[in-house]
Amino acid sequence: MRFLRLKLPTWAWLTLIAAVPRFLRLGAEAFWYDEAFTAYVSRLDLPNMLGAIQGDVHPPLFYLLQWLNVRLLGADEFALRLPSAILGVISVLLVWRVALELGLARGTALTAALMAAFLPAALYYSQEARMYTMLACFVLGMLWAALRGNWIAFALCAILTFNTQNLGIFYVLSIGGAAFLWHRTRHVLVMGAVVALAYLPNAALVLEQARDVANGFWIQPLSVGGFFEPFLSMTMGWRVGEALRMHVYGAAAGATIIGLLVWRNRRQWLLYAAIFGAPLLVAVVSVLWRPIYLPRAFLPSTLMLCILWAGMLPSLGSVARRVAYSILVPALVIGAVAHYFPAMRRDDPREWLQPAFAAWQEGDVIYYTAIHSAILQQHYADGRPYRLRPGVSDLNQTLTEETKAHMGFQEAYLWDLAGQGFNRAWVSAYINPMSRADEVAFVETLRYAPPTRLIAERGNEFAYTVMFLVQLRW
Amino acid sequence: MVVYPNYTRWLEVLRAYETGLLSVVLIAATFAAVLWASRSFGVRTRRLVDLLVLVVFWLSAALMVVANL
Repeated sequence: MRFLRLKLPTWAWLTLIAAVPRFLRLGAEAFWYDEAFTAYVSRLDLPNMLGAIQGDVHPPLFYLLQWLNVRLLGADEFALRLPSAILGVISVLLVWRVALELGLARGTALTAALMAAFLPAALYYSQEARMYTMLACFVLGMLWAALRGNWIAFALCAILTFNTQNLGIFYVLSIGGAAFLWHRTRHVLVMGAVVALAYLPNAALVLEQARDVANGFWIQPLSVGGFFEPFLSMTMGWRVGEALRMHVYGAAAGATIIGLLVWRNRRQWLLYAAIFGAPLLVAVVSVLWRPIYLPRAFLPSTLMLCILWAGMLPSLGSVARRVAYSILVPALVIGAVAHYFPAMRRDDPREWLQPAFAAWQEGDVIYYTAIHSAILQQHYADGRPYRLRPGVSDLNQTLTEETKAHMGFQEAYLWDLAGQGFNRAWVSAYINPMSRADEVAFVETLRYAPPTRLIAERGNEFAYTVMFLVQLRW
Repeated sequence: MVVYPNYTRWLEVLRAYETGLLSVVLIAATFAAVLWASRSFGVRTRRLVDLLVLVVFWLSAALMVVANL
């Protein structure tokens, strides 16, 4: 590429182009629950962190990276999201390399990489302190290695994949299976055996974690419409307003369908397995066993979908190609802009806690009625004392007792707080569709308790947060 | 005993959303099929159909934006 009078190689331009939207406002948004969970466990000492994540739903690799990161750079938004941003840039470069490896023309490979660079869902996960861009990098690395027949790199990427996210094993199975069928060499079998051996220690833990996930409200039994969700929301994101969201999703669906029609005779089985294999396998397991179909785990698939989209464009007639560009490019732009200016802004815990901080007095305490709130809001409480109602659930009903023990929550009943020396409690209550009846009752009772004052309330009929000020002593 | 008071209603809303997604996929498939089938048409018809797809797509998007104002 030679523009702006800078003679840089293509990979350097792509790095710059992918880095700009990923570092733009990287630390601006407050954490949401999952990110705050990353921050919470990464600040624990190593034995407690490993103990805590054993009872969670993800393998340790990403948390180990963040554990180191927190000690080097701190636990603020920018620092914790930095690994995802860097890995997001690398994933764009890998899309480019994979497209070239598939034999696409240089311009087409570049188009695929540019689509990946501005893919709204990829931007979102490049700015989230979670493991999904890391997963994408290892899956893309696995595909690149399989295309080149580099089985040592393949095995290494496969092991890293299932140590990053539990559903990564389905990418290993689909790409590994396709690689075996395509290459049919002894090397693939040997490396497959090495990967299988490496996976054995994970297997029991994964089954235990999968059982916990299946009890949560965030993964429901799979429906036909739900199956397609990753190919829509994990491409164009979900921050576009309702007015345009379905059109933007329609652009992604249309490009995918035409892509499938164009690519049907190209016999790129490894690419097809990499894009569609894992979602199909996870869908089958969700129907036959337990619901584990988690759309965000399919970010690697949707990044590779950019190759399918870019690869179909040269095969269209000149007018149809212009039509496809005129639909797909604006849709990507709308999705990317909506990433920075979302139709529905994420709740900011700093704003939520502001009334408490503004009127804070010596002897005050924050009292949480859900683990979710304790993890998220306490991150922004600047070391103010807090207590958590004992025995309450978390947002997703996924944290085991073992995890909770390692996380070391400070639990106390509301009526015991006066005995602990506190005068007033700022009760931050959170209710969601899976809150227990006793949890709902506790919050509703506070509305009518005489020493309680309602400070703020927001939400809808399914999930709402309420803040009360409770006078504990006079 | 564990009771989730809002769960059933919430699940209904989720299912309605997923049905909406399925509709999007089916409509997109229709548009894609039209674009694809237009390859076998004559040059002028093909151009007309391709442009019609573009116009219908963005016109309906504009109408949705106006309707949501």
